[in-house]
Amino acid sequence: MIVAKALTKKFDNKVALDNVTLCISDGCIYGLVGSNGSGKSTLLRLISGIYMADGGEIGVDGEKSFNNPHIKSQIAFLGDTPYFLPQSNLKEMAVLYNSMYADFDYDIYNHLLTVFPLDQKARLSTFSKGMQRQAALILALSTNPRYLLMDEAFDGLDVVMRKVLGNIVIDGVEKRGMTAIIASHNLRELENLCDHVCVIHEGKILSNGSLDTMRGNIHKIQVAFKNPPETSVFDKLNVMKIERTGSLLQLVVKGDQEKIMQFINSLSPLYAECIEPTLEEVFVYELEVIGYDIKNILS
Amino acid sequence: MTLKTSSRSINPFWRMFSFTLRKNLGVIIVLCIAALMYCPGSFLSVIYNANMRDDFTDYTTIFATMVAVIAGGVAVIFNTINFTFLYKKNAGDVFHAFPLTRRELLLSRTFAGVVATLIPATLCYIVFAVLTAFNPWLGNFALLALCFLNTLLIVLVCSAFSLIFVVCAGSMFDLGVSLIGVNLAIMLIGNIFTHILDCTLIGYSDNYTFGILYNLSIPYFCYSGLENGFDIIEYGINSADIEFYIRSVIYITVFAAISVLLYNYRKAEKGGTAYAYKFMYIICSVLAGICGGYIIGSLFGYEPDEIVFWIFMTLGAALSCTIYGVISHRGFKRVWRSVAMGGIAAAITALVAVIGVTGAFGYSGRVPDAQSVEKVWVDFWGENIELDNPELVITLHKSIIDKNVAEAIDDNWDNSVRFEYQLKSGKTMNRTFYITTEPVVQQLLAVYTDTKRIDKYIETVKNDQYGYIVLNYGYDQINEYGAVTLNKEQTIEFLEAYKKDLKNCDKSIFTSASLGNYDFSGGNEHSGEKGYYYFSIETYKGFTNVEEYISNSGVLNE
Repeated sequence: MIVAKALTKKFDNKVALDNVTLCISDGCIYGLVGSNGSGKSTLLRLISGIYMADGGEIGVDGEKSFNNPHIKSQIAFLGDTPYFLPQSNLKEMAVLYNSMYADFDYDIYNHLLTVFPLDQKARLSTFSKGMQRQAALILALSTNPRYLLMDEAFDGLDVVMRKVLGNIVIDGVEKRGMTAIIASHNLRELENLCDHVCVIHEGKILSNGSLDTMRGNIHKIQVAFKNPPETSVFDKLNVMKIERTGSLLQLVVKGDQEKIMQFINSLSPLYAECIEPTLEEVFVYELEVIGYDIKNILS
Repeated sequence: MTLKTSSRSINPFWRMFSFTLRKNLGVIIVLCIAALMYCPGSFLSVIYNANMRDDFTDYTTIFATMVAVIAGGVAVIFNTINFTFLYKKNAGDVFHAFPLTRRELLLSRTFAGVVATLIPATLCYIVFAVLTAFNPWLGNFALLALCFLNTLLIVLVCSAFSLIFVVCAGSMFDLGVSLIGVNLAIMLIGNIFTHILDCTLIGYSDNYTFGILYNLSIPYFCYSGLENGFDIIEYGINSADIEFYIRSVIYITVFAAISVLLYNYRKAEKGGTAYAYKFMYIICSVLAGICGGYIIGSLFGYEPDEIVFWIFMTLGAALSCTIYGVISHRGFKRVWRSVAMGGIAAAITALVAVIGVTGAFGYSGRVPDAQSVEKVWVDFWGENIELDNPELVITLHKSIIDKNVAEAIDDNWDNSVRFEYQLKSGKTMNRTFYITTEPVVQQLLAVYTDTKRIDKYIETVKNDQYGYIVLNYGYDQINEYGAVTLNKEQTIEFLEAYKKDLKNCDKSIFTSASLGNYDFSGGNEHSGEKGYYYFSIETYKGFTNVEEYISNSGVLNE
């Protein structure tokens, strides 16, 4: 379990993380969403023990990760720009990772080489961006980590490889109880992968919770009336957003789906349907309520 | 993926060490080839061509100096190669995410650099030892072993010292600037401060320049320690050698500890910025300010006792710091801070001058106890006199201070009196005064006319086993110079005549020009310094006994 309490990180005078408190339980796939410079990469680096916190604390299994080899041996951090030793190939990098990580597993390494077909004797500097990311993924996953931290994990990967990566992560979580934390500025990438999502903006957490809970609580309803009523009729519901297009109304309502539909049907609509909102829509509505424009946040 | 149930037991320090060493293998091989080109390469021509051989050249010391200087430099280069990850954010992420402590990471890679340096150096030594085994004139094994130990220490000192710069820098460029700049600046500042003290501090002896450098500059410390160590086999170990070894061990320990401490608190995010620690920027800036300020100050007013020197020194320091700040910050950000650094640099330089003017905490007025003096040499405007009787010298020294007849610097170099005390504690104490002669002329005369030193010369000549004394004479006023060989009796008679003249001379000798100078050298010059002796005397108007002896004996005409 990863616990951050009042975590603060400053870069000179700029506050990158401001009093962040969160808890990431074991065996989950945790999405960190935010725009560039929001603080998600900083949070990952703090968790993996690369950065020192300027305030508060970050604990992995109850221990601080900075300068703690025991904890760091269980974490694989995949940065947004992969790094390989100059003039090295994947095989040499595997030797380095095998030297450093007690749990490095050549069976996993060889298996992943079949999934991501890379020439392990070719110089990594000649690889494309996507191939370099695949190479970094192979190395990170071969360390058999308990915690896999990925910064902009899908950047540079094609659709097929994104799917493959998603499956590998899910496989690791299901079979080994691995915890994956994926930072991205793209909500759609995380939609079908994460079970928890945290939106971070200007170093502060705006929203944090289980995706099912978030989704289950917000409903997008399309309803058509012969004579559309005044919007004030819906004041009895916890309406987050209402849009009118002719006789068609689109409502975003928070609450119990059954009760909401009961109320809507009592108004004798011509047509009423409850649609599951996308993850992006959930956040758009959630954050709009507290005064943020998610499109700006994720732009 | 397979489920992993057990972990290997690994020692991250040794793993990282061995990996780094393997990664440096290519460079090590190149260095080994270069090492073999030097040794045996450059020595084979001497071995197989007797005409190139020089009997007075000590090949072991030449070899050891070359290897030690290059090895020290290579150790620094390996440190920069092995820690480039500190200056790239993504590289730093990978290395800092590895499961080992910062201390393990730092020391394992440093140690790998040291071993990588020592492999070609050791190869060189082994080859040289083999060459020496077949050609004993090349050197001796004891000296070779000692030089190897010194090289090892120098490599460790250089590596540990450079590590501080490696940790403090944020980019390769700034590492290069700070590492080279600070070490060059320290050498320069040693000379700048010496010059300032020379101009402001009464009694200051410029012999301390090398002392200042020895204490401030690590490269100079290493080099001088190595050079001093060459005498250990022949003359035995002395206090300076012991100090070198003790200080080397202290330096290695302290520098390594400082580096580890700094690295433990180094912010990984500083990779790519100019400096991870601001104090290194401040040090570099201030040093640049002192050097730049002094150079510009000297262009407009050479001596630090001129106000124009200090005006331009301050402006120059501010300008130098600004230029350094612009380079370091890659722009004109915080330019006023740079100007302030220039102020600090000028203030430090001025502080040295103030310390000099105010006597450097009693330095100017300090006179040793007669009981604590082993030997004393007095230098009257070029004539060096060794005295066994320190009281006379101490009386003169005290008179100069008490009567306040000395200045810090005088353009008239003829008025200098220099004292060099060899203390019983093993230390030396040097003072140089530029004096007005008249108030202390009696004390000067008492020292100068003390004939015990002549008795000592006579005793030395009497004990000469060879009996051939070379006399080099010169009469500057008539531009006549020559050399003759005297026997023991002739030399003793010459000195007896001089002794009589010395007893009769008066204070006019301090204001008149020398009529003749006579340099005596005896013993076997080629048997080493132990059998060799040398002394010099000068004659003035009224030294009639010497004139008579030369005229009557005709020794200079032989």
